[in-house]
Amino acid sequence: MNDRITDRDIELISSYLDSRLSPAENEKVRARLKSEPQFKQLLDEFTYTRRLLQALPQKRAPRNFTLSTEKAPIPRRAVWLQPALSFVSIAAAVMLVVVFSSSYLFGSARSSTAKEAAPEAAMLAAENASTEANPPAIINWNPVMGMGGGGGDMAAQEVYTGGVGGGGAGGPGWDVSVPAAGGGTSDATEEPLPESPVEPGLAPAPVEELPAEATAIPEVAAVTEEPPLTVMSEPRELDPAASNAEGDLSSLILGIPDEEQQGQIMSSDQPPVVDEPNRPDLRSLLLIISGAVALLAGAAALVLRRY
Amino acid sequence: MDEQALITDALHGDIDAFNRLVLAYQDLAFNVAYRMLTDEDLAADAVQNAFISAYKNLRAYRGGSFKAWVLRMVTNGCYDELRRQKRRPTVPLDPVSREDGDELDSAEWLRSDDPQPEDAFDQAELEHALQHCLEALPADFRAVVVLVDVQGLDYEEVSHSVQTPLGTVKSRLARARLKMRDCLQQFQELLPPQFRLGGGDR
Repeated sequence: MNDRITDRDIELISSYLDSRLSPAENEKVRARLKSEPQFKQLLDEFTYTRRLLQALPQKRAPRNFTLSTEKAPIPRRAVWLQPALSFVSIAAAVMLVVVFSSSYLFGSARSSTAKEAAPEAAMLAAENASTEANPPAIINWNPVMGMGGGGGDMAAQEVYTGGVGGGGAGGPGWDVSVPAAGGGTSDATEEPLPESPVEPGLAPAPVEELPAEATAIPEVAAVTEEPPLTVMSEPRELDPAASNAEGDLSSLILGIPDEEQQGQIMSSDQPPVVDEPNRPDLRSLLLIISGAVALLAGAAALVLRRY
Repeated sequence: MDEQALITDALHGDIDAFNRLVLAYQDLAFNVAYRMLTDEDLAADAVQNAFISAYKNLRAYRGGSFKAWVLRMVTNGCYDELRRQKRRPTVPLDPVSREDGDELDSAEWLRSDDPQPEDAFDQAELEHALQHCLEALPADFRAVVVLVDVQGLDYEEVSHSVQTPLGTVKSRLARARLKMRDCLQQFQELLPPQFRLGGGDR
């Protein structure tokens, strides 16, 4: 082939052979065919090649390729099912996006409002704290032996109303009515506590009522069933001496709560926090449901479309 | 034959309607597959699978040339088979000369020794030569030249069948013809006189 024949020329001749050129291109090709022998020769060779290919015999199919129901068992399906599933999938996806975006936008706006309000609340709380006397908290021990009571003097357990962790050689404990002979000391109260920091009316004074045999056997299972440690900070129970040490842990006053207050954590600054049951948010529910529907419907539509 | 009506009936589960379409196009499909694969059994399998696939995917048919749509299934099946052969090559059946054991480079082996009538002999020689040259083409080129020059489809149908833009079809066809020309030149002496370049019936 002559160097003047380019790839474009080959395509031109091939298309010219099949009459696939525009009239203008046809004219150009015809002009070149007259003036360029190589161009004409290539056209002749292409014509010859095509003629040979067209001369190839057509074969008959060796057998019929008709289908039987066994060969192509297509389960009949409702024509509307696949479009309906597609629509449901799209609708659920749109709902997912809307709910998610609204949740994100409004949720972030709400959280930002809360963040802005938080410093102000903190400042107000600080002011209140500075102006009001911060009463020491009163730790009321349940009228049973606590966790650390195991190491205490068993003789003194008869008069214990509580025990603090520590255990070991001698559980730190203190008595209410009778000074304990136990050797443990409490980390929270390094100084000996007043002998009667709790008024008799505030404490149920269960010690005297407890039977000796009940306190003499330190059953662990029985202990765990009792109400836990109770922290109170009611100023009405303050001991005047103890109230001098503001904010000092050593000024904590231990007492025995009422039976109704046992097992509660109370604060004087804020109302008792009541734990709300962990209810799922409506938006979260919508997100989960719409996402699941979108996924399932989309997958089903794809499967139906493929098979 | 009302092709569209048959397609509609087949879409509603009438397999007999689809089989009428199969009967109409099975020879064309088999010839395309045979020219692509050069093996009757493989071609038959490819065609059968193509019709099954066509029936299963009939809902995906969006109008246009049903022939081109069916041939698309056929060519796809042929491409798959050629790829499979490439992954697992088989021992070629090219004849080996008895003297030295080397493969014959020339096309002499294409000459059949069977006594045949003259016309059939000439035709067989031509077919051997053409099939040999077609096999030497890349699969993409082969599909285009088979569909256009052997089966007589127009460019648009071929573009649809091989899922390739029209310009690419033109380009591939031109290159395929060029390669075929180069290949056939070595068979000039073997071809019957009327099929030689510059022969009597040109």
